[in-house]
Amino acid sequence: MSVKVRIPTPLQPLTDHQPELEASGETLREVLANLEERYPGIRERLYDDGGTLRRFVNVYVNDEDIRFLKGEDTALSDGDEISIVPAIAGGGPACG
Amino acid sequence: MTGGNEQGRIARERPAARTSTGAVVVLTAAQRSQLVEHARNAYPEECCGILIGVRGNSSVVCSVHAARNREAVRTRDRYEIDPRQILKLDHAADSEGREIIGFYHSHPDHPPVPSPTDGEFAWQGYIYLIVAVTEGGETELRAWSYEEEQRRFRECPIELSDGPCSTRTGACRQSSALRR
Repeated sequence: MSVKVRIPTPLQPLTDHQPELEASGETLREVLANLEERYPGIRERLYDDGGTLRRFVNVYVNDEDIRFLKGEDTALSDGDEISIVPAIAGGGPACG
Repeated sequence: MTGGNEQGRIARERPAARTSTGAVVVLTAAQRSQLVEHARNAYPEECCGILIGVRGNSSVVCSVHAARNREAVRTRDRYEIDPRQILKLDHAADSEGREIIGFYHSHPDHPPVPSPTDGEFAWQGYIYLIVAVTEGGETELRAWSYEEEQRRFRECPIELSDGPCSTRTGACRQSSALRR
């Protein structure tokens, strides 16, 4: 199964600065493992120490948040597009 | 919001500290006004948005896109951009040969300096513009990038340059080369 993966700017140093990659796998978990094999270090950026996808990382399969699909067990079809989207948040000092 | 006094209507950009070596951020006066007006209109709540552009020796802003603050409770000192909006703009930018180069948000009644919360969520590789805004409408804009290894922000100089994005990219690269 071949899918496209969109890589956000902060992770592109790990993928030779490629913003989009082809990857293979039957599920999202397999695709992310495939990426780690080819671009070591990417797993550490996506997963916490407990092996769970970081909460600061959003993953979409064809514009659908995987939290509303089957998470990493989401089954993929040929040509699917996976997007990794960093959480963007922050704010000023607490107002008290 | 009642609008500021005449002095307050003029956005002030503080020159970056001499020690700053962050990438230069280039934007037009119109884009600066867009950011500043968004911050004023949102006051006393925080505003946020997305910067589309191109990166070379400098980060050149091609367009500024206001985003909805997804933070529902602490809207005066927190923001979160809907990742779906980021995704949508990423596709649109990619089709034009551009990319998301960073984000902006406001600090109502606080300096335009990254807060601990900003650091908690920061990613290396993006530009973070922060607009300080007061009740009187006074604003100050500063730019930052994040260094993951040192876990600190570095200030980036802001350059104002008008003209189409493609032209500014060339001009910007040239001026960066001259600066060496």
